[in-house]
Amino acid sequence: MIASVRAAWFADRRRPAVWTVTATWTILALAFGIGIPYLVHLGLAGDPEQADAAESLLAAVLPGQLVTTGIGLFPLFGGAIVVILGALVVGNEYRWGTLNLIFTQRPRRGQVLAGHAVVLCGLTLLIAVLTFGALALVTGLLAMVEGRAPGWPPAADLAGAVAAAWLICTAHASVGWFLAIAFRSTATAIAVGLVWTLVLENAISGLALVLSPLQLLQKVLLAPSSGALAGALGARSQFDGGTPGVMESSSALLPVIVLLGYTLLMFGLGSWLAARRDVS
Amino acid sequence: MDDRFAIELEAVTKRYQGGVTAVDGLDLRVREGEVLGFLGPNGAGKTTTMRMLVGLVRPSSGHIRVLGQPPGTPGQLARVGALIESPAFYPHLSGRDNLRLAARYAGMPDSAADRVLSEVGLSDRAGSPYRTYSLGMKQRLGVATALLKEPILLILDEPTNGLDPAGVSEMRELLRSLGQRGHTVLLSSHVLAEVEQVCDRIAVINRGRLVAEGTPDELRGALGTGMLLIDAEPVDRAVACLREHDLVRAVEAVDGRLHVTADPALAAELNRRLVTAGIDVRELRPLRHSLEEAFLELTATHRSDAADADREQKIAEPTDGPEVTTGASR
Repeated sequence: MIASVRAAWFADRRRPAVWTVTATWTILALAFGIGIPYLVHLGLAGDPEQADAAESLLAAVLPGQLVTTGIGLFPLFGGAIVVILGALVVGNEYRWGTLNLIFTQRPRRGQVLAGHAVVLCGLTLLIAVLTFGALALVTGLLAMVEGRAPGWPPAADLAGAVAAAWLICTAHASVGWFLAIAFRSTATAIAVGLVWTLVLENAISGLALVLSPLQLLQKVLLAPSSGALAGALGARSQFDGGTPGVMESSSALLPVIVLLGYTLLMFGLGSWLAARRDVS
Repeated sequence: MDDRFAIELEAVTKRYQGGVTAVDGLDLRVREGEVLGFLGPNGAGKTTTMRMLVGLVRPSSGHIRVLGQPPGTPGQLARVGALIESPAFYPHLSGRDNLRLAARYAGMPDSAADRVLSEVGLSDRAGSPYRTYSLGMKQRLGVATALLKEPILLILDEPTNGLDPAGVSEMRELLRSLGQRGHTVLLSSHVLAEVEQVCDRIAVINRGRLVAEGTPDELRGALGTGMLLIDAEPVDRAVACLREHDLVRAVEAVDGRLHVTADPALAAELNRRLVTAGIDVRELRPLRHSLEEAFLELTATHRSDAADADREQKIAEPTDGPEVTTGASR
């Protein structure tokens, strides 16, 4: 098992696509989480009638709201990006035909796939840490520029937000990972994964506002659960002027259970499928 | 099953979804330490069979044992090196890194990569990305991967594909030395001359069934031409003498030697007759097919005669050594 993890890490860390996705997400997080609100703040700052809105926008990009600003980015935007990462990690094995190489070495197929899954979990942790690290750096700089006290959040809150971001990313990545195995293709997995998380689940969430039977279904969907977890950590929902994808929630328990369930189910199903099918 | 066999297939069938039967009741045994040539036309089921031997594809029915174990288990794979179809590697990694990766999966040290790179003559380009490799270099890397685990059984599917003549020669030497060192090799190739030079025995499959197996000599002889080759002097008297025999159907002079259409069992009698007539006989032997002719005849026969595939058809039996049979395996 350790040999499989080492080998998977050896292969995955050298894939340019992995780092391209990671860097793209980090830049997007900074742009959507900090850059755009700060630019809007600058635009409103000179207008006395918009002073409250400008102050609110500035507060959102300072370290004091690092947890809520950061975690609010993950349910919709981060999740979608990480679906791509999950699909890339295993889908390219089918594209390049390298499963032939790997499966004829020594470990069982399950061990090979578990190795990739562990590496993927490591990459999602890295993304969560990197995102909050970059946000912390930039918000700290902005506090200096604006002459405000940083007011850093408690370390426990920050750790909780990183853990929640990791869980959201891992659950989404596991979906991309499973789809790549199911379709034996990277491109199809990415397309279906994005349609699933961005279109289908959001459509159901929208319909759930008017069709109450769908509310139960909504609670076990990936994106709404991610949004509910972010909401439970204090991120403001879109209806409350927050980030798209975030949902009001008073408890993190159910979203955590659902996201863990997705992670285990997708990794388990993918491994089972890859282990029992012929490699052609 | 007998543990003297490195590979044993019993009534193995592989039927893909959609109803295509790639392998149909195949029986095949490869003895430990032998180099077996595995021949068949495109689509005969060779690659599917090889895939089943390493667990990439599971048989629909039948039994397979490789080195005494079911295929695809860690214990079996640790002792088997395989190159099946085109080599597939990570394009962004160098040849060396691809081998290191395979070595890590195999539980081998990274240093094993350099050993096999040298063995296949790829050390100079080991640091270049795989995507920059020529077809021949890719093939060498595939063979290097097969050798990585120092396996006792090698399963090689068209290992000389894409190699230049020098590469083919080197590969032939490598295969020969592997055989001499006691490795068991299952070798699929379309280069029949290569198979003939390297292999101890040959198995021919067509439409997923074994149609013949034996040594190259046995296979060539198994499909007798019904002709004798006689080198005699003077030629004109030899022709006249042979034509007088009732059971000689035709005599033709080809390049100074005679092709005599007659039952090879008449060889001794014809020899006596010529010698008695004062004709010098320098050579007299059954005229045999080349391996290529035998291969084409075997596969053509079974291609056009699928309905009779179940009928075991003994075409010839050598007087000594193992029996050579052609026809369906069951």
